[in-house]
Amino acid sequence: MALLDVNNLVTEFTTPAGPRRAVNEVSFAVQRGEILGLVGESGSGKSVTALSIMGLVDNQVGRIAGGSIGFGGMDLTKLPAAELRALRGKRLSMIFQEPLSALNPCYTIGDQIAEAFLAHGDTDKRKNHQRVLDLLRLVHIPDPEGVLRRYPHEISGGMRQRAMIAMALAYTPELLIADEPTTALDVTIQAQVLNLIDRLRRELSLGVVLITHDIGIVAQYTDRVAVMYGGRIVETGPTAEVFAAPKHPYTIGLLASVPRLRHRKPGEKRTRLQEIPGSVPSIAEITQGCRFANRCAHSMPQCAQQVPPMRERTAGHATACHWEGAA
Amino acid sequence: MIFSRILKSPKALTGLILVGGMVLLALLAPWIAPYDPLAIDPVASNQAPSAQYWLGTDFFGRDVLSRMIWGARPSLLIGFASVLIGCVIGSLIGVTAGYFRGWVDAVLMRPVDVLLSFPIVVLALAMVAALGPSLINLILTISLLFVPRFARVVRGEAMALRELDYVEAARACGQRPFAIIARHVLPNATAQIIVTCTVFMANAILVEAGLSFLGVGVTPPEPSWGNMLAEGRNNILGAPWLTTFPGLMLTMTLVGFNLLGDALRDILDPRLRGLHN
Repeated sequence: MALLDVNNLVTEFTTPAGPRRAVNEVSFAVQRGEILGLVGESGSGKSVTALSIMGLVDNQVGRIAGGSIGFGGMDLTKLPAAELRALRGKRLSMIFQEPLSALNPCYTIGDQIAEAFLAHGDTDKRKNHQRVLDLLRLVHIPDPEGVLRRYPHEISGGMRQRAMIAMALAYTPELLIADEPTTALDVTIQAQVLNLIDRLRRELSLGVVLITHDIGIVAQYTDRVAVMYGGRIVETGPTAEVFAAPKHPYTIGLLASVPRLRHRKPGEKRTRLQEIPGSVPSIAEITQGCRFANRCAHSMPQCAQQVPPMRERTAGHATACHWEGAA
Repeated sequence: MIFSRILKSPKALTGLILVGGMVLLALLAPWIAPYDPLAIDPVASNQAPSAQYWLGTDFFGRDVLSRMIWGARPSLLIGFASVLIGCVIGSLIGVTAGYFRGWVDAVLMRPVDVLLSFPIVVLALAMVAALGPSLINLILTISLLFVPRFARVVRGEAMALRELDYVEAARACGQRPFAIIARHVLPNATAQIIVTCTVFMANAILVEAGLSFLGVGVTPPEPSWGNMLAEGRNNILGAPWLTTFPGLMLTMTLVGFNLLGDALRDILDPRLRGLHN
């Protein structure tokens, strides 16, 4: 059985015009020791999917309106708030995009990480100190004793993100959700942090949901990928296969819009980077049919009428598109 | 850090000196007041300021200076105590309402709105009239006036702070809501709370003076600036010192607290740093 089994998840937000779906019938599964890449543009519903799994959708503005999130034999969408809270930080963890703003400037790194233990009733100070030290060593922070006493602004962005990861690993969770963990970091530090996550999932056999808009990161670090567009998953499959033979016009466009590093031969003309015309529709717009249709090069009359269902094209590789062209 | 900034800001320094001066007067009243504030001397009735009575005497021959110094005590005591009580209760209500929002917010803030809809003096008069004038009742009444006002201010802060990333991070690691409030929300609201306290202190003192003036606050013969103003009012042309000096004291105290509050807001709010001075 999969570690995490998201099934037809619908998350709605209240807007002045009524409820709108930020996440629309999203389904995917994550196995232990596997990294699933959740990729898409800003506003495609990646982060809301993550918050829905964590039960952190602000109940003032949104709610999970349908579907189920299977985890450890439970349905997280039906769990009482207190039980869900007890799971967070213990069996489910999350790290955030901005390590600086995700750390309270008033507390030292040590106090901050220890909060994960305090939150679950482990209040033995000496024991916590030791556990925090162990965690800092686990995420390869040099001079853990020193960093422990530092404030967030006194250490580098990479160190802060490692500290956040340490905090997320306090109880060795089964599932780690990383929401754009390296977007705010320098490229060289990105690789360190991602290699760390990759090593930890192997050593601790974590299931990881890696949310990113960076195709390069998906290609290099994920086992499987789910491409999101307009609140829906439009294509999912083993990363290598999806990248080698994308089926959905959006995925094709996305892959074509990645700049490549290579030398131009002398005299060779510069090629223009491909783009997808138009922009991501706001969740406030209600569209019938496929949300990508108005930007799609292969759009057909039925695309505007009917939402394409998810269909498996080859084993484990499914896409939601009426167009049969790309094989 | 904050202290050195206060010393550098003329506004803050003026406020601090005025407020500090009043606190000293109140604390040292038994030693610096030249006369017993309650001692009646029929021979020295309504004396103008002189070398003997620096600020003159009232109808009963009581020394205005001594009464004024002693009068600082109820004003400041009631001000401090009621703002403290109002601040603690109001902040707790506000932070809880602002953090949880939803029905918690509705349940907590509706009574607050009801209290806010009464004019201060009307509510205070009604309360004191019902409870009877005593120091404790005055403090209770005035703190009740400030509970909703603190709740409003702190609720607003909490609603902004709950959206911070590290508050979400704390939720993500399974922290309990009240622990998040105590560790992450309240500490960040302290600057705002301190400033509000300072400004409300001026208001509280003014309410006390108003109630005493109306005869439901500090009851004669105990001196307070408010009841001194009320007693001197009848003879404002014949013996202007009876109203001028307590009025000046009251004004200086209020100006002091307001200046201090204003300057503290500039100093403590990093968003305003560098905009003034």
